[in-house]
Amino acid sequence: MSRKHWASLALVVVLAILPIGISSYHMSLLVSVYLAVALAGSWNLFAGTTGYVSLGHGLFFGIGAYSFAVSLVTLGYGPVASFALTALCTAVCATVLGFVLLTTRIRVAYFAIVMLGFNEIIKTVVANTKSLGSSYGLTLPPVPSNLIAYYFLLGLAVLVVLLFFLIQRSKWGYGLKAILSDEVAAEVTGVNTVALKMAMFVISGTLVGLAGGMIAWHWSYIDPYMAFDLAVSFEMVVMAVFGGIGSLWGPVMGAVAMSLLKEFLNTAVPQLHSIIFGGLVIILILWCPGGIVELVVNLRRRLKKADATDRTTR
Amino acid sequence: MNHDQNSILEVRGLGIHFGGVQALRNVSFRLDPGKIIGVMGPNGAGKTTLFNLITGVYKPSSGSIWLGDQQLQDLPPYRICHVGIARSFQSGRPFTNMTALENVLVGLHFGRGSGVLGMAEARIRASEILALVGLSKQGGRPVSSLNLMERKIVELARALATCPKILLLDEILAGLSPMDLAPAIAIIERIRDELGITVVWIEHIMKVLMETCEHLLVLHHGEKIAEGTPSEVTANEIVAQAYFGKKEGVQHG
Repeated sequence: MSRKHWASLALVVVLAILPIGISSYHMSLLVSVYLAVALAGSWNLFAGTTGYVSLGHGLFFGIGAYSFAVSLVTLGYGPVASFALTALCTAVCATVLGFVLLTTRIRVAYFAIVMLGFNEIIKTVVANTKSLGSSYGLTLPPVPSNLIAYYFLLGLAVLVVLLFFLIQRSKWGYGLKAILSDEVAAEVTGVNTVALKMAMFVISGTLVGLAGGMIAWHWSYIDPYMAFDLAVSFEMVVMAVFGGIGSLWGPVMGAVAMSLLKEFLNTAVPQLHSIIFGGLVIILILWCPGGIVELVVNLRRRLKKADATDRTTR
Repeated sequence: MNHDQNSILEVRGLGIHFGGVQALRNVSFRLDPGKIIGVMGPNGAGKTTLFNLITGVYKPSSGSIWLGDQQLQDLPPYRICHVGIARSFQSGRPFTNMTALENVLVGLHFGRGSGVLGMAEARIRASEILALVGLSKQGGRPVSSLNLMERKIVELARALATCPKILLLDEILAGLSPMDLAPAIAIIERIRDELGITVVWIEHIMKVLMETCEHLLVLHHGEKIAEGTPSEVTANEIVAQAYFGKKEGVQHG
């Protein structure tokens, strides 16, 4: 293991023992940070690896939230079984949707918009289904301990990052990079592009679904407008792009930076926070299209350069 | 190199139309293995369309494509690669977000006979393939930093890494400086001689095709108008007419 790996492991260990000494405010803040990392990271697992930008990935968040609620409340299963059912449900939905959208050679732009459309369709269907509580939503029993959400979402965030890391270094990683570069060339080089895109889509969707399930339980109430809120879909994209799409740490940094910034602006300038927040995002994207990751790399290069010239002039 | 029946590429009555345009009409041929076969014809004759049909990028409107006793026309491109047909693209389409070595690794990991090599073994094999095409030094460099000749050879190496029986080259010499031609041709001859791969080669430089190929196919307006050894084809009157008679095709080189 390299120094970077040890540092990542140490960070996870510190976060794992952190709840012992922090206030409940800080804990819920961290829960929202982990949720952001899990969502942006899951989105990146598909969009960042294949180039297919999904503008409706929150669809899986909503499906996960409802799967969990129905399993726990309506069917009366325990939490563990309910999470298993949530994963299964979102995986099946992602597979079906993947068959519809990815087996044909759909253009990337159409894909983005069709995903958004599906989110709206499912939202409307749920809002009109009595057994799902229609627009009134469903109430869930409260989570026994706040630690459950803390560890579940921390675990999910770590899993998402780890998966991206492992896939990037595997055979699949080469196939995905090929798809990102040129799908036709990838296909004639033997890459089963449909299967690979499908696999990433299902993995990504399932992870988002699990996050949705946990949040439904954490909130102990969901309705269609929260579960399928387009803000969930958009925030995933913005955080990943803000940090650096397609990179390992980009979405993590983007999610951490944006969720903390949002919280800070929310308390500091409650009336103006959305405007300032939006402005900052636009400035960063214009100034540095590769996101925070690119910013860091450029800064490092500049520092190294300055260091080198410093030494030669001395 | 010994060849079995399974490395014979055969095309029967192949045709495709895009809307009302008949790009290829009733083309048939059978290619003996272990040779370099040239495909010539004026611009718009249907040469690249033929390659797109053989590799499954387009589906034919009529006819069939065979490798040995296996039919290919209904298979997706990646399956045709697994059967043993690889190609390069006319304008050059290496994966520009990777190094030269990584391009070759994609071929090794996903081509025919993939799954046999581990990650470390594959890297060694990839270096060997790069050495064969004379790109040992460029292996670690991003493709985006390579020159046109090197990019085209990377694409060739990527195709070779899929272990093809048949290699389709689409104007691999186009745009190269005269100085680069001889080494590139030498590589193609080495692929036939050392690896025993059948090379089907589209090129506009007539002199090169005449000198290097054992067999030539001539397409014109989507139809095969002649086939045979270079001397047979040059003696063919229909070919002479297609090329010179009406002054349609423009030749380079």
